[in-house]
Amino acid sequence: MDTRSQHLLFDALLERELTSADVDHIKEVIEKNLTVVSRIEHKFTPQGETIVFILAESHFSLHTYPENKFISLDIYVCNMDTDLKKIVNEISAVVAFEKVDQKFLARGKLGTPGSSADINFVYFVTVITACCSILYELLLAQTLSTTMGNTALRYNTTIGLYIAAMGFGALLYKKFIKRDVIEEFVKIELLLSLIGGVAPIMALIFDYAFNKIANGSGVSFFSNWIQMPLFTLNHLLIIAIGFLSGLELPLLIDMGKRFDKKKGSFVLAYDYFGTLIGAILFPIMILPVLDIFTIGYVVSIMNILMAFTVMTKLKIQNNKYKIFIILMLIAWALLIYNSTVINAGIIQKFYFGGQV
Amino acid sequence: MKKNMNRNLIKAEILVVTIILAFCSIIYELLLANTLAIVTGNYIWWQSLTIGIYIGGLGLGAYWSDKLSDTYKSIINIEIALSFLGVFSVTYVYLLHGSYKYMDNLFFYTGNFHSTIYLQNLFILKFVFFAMVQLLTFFIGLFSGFEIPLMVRIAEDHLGESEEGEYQIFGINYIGTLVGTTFFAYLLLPKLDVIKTSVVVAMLNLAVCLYFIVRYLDKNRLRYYISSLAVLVCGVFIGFNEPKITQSYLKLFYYMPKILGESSRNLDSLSDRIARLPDINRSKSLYQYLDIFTYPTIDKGVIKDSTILTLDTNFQFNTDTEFYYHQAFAHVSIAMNEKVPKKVLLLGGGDGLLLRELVKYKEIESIDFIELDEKMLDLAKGRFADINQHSVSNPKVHPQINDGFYYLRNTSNKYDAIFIDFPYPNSYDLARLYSVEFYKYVRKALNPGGFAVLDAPFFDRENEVKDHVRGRIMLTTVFNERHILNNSVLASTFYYAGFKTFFPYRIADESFLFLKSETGAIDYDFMQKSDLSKLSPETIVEMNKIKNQDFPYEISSKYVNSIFRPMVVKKNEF
Repeated sequence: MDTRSQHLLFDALLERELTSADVDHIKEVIEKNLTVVSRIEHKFTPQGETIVFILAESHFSLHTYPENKFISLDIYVCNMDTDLKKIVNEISAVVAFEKVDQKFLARGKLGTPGSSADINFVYFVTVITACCSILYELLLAQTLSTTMGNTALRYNTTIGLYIAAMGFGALLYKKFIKRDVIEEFVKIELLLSLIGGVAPIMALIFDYAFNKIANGSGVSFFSNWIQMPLFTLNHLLIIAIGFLSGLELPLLIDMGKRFDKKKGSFVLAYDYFGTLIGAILFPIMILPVLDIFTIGYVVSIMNILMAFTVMTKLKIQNNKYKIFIILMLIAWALLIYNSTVINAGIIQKFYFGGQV
Repeated sequence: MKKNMNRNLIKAEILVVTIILAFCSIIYELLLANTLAIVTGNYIWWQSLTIGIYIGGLGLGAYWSDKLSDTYKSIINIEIALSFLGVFSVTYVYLLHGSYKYMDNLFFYTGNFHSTIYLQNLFILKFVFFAMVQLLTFFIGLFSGFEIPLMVRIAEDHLGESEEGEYQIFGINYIGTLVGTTFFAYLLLPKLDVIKTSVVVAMLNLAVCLYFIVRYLDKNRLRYYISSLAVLVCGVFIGFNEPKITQSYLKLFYYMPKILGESSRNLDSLSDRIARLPDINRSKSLYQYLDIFTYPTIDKGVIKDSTILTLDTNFQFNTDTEFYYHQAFAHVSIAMNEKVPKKVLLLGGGDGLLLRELVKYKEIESIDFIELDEKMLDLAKGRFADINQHSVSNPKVHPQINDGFYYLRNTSNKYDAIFIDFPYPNSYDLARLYSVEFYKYVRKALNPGGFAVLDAPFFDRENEVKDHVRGRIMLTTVFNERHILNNSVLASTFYYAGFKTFFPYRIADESFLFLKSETGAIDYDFMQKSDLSKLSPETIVEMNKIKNQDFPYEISSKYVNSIFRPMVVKKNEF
């Protein structure tokens, strides 16, 4: 049995005198939201009372100190789904508090080994995938600045578009994700690692293709007929990576909430942290060591391995995904192994168009 | 139906507020990153570090947000704090950097313009400066990090709990960030500059704060109104004193040798001394800050004023000494080639000074002149027109506003000589202008027998000794591994771009690189054979030293600087 449970410790100072109607209201809220099995109530003289309910979910207790306008209550529930915050809100809708001191404790982890590791696992996945996403974008910004010129502008528009596309991903999350969150997450990671890994090369190929079209048709490369579609295609790459990364965050939050309802929202914090690592590592440690294409493959491999770890750890059976993972890993390994020759070829063919 | 309408209204209200908050927050970050990058001159390092610390703060804020029990009071407190920090952000950086440079120079005053302005001597001071600035970045990030979770709570309070609502708040927050970055780069920074932007955005933030007070607080409003009023007063004060704050900082920065040099004879306070100094003329283009100011130089016992231009505070030229540089660039390279080119391409050099030397040749028929920054061209036609002898308006010259790399990559024009006057490759952004790809295009654009010449940080042994004589106390003055590496990166890049002739030379403090596709040793007698009438006597003295210069380097594919694998070369580590 899952012993993980939530414990609310709630102290409050009232704005006005405590009435018996207030106490009744608190009891009603508990009865409405939880299953009461047994009750003990004791009134002290001259004032104050203690109420204890045994719940199917565990227990509830209330101590009142009317002379101090103070109440102290505990709710202990042995599941992670009951929303204790909602119960507090319902109570405070009628009982007016001046000051509140509340603590939500997560208890029972010892009884269910592995349960706390799961949320940490989601955090870990979040850090790595956020790091991968920002790296794809920085790589693309660097590549586009080589083909389109004006580095500062390229970085600005790339980061701006990336963040906005992430926003749209998060906004449209509910419309896109209908199936199981974990399976969807794996799918999105695989898509991201494919697009992100080849994005720098794609940008070069687009540029090459439009140069060829311009030369073949006699239209100037600088005319809007060539520049507009080229611009659009390049930026579609940025948007695609941003949009998929935008779907990723709510998926991770949902996954986190499945393990720990309260801590699910902390995924956001870890997402920021992963972005931080990526943004700092890129100029200081990654770019000085590897060439752009190889960085793309390495980041993609990191991303694929994350998808794979999620699949095995959370027991997702999907042979299509497994074949895809194996094929991608083989492809990237071959590209990295022969990177000197292949990169030189790519640059010669697509960047110089064979002219220089 | 009515209830639904109401719900939609409340939802719209919450989303609009979220967008504004995200907008303000990212602009504070951009302001800090940009101001720091400009004042310290190390763009990539400070940009990525600032965004990193800011995002780290955001993360911690989101993580700690459940510690805030009272949603409404918390968000109001946070917004007051954020607008307060926002109002002071840039002023704080200026103040800190000004005092840091001042203290640093108090200990290591050399009296030399370059070392006083650009050298950082005391590491501990640099560290304190760094820590104090990034503390502000961190707090702005932290407070902004509280915002989303609090907005989610407010939405839940009014609309009930829904995951969709939560994701919509994330989404709209990202869009606010996009709007912020775009507005900052294209509107706020060029139009208002940093201090005014910080005040305007902080006031917008304060307006949101007031909205929160009016909308959500029933009592105890007075103390929040008073705090807001205090921030407003600060904002108005800083907004109106913006020119004075910027000028004080710039004067302290650029006139440091003068301020410190006078101190022994003058009992005035620092602020009086700063007030007496002439203003610095600062303008902002899409790409950089252009600062112009006059500086006294002593020439043979006579004090005269010379004009200095800096771009993003990096020294460009001094009207007193620029002749060395531009004569060496134009005439020495043409003399070396032993044949005056007919068709010339000039990349960069927007001040028109190199152009002034080039138009002196009757043999040169046309000069295509590519400059990125329109403001530079305006300066060349305006304020610098007398110094460059109206060279930009010469009928032989065809100016064009364009990215040099982009132009070369897509042009089919051929030239007899290409003069490349770019900033030094001390960032990834600039390193691409020294890449093997760029120089392959340079080679492609050259006619047979044509040459290219550029100025770059290339080190010879003697140059380093000179550095020492100039009084750069804490600088490594011994010719070391790093200098060989820097030399090797440039030499290998040109070699792999296909330039078989590579000849470095130094005139005064500046080194130049002469490139040709064809093999052939440089004949040191070129100086005797060529027409030297365009050179000043001082330059000729310097030129005669060329044959004794020794530039060590090693050629290997591992040193090649490619846009796909950038290598950064620095003149000096400031």
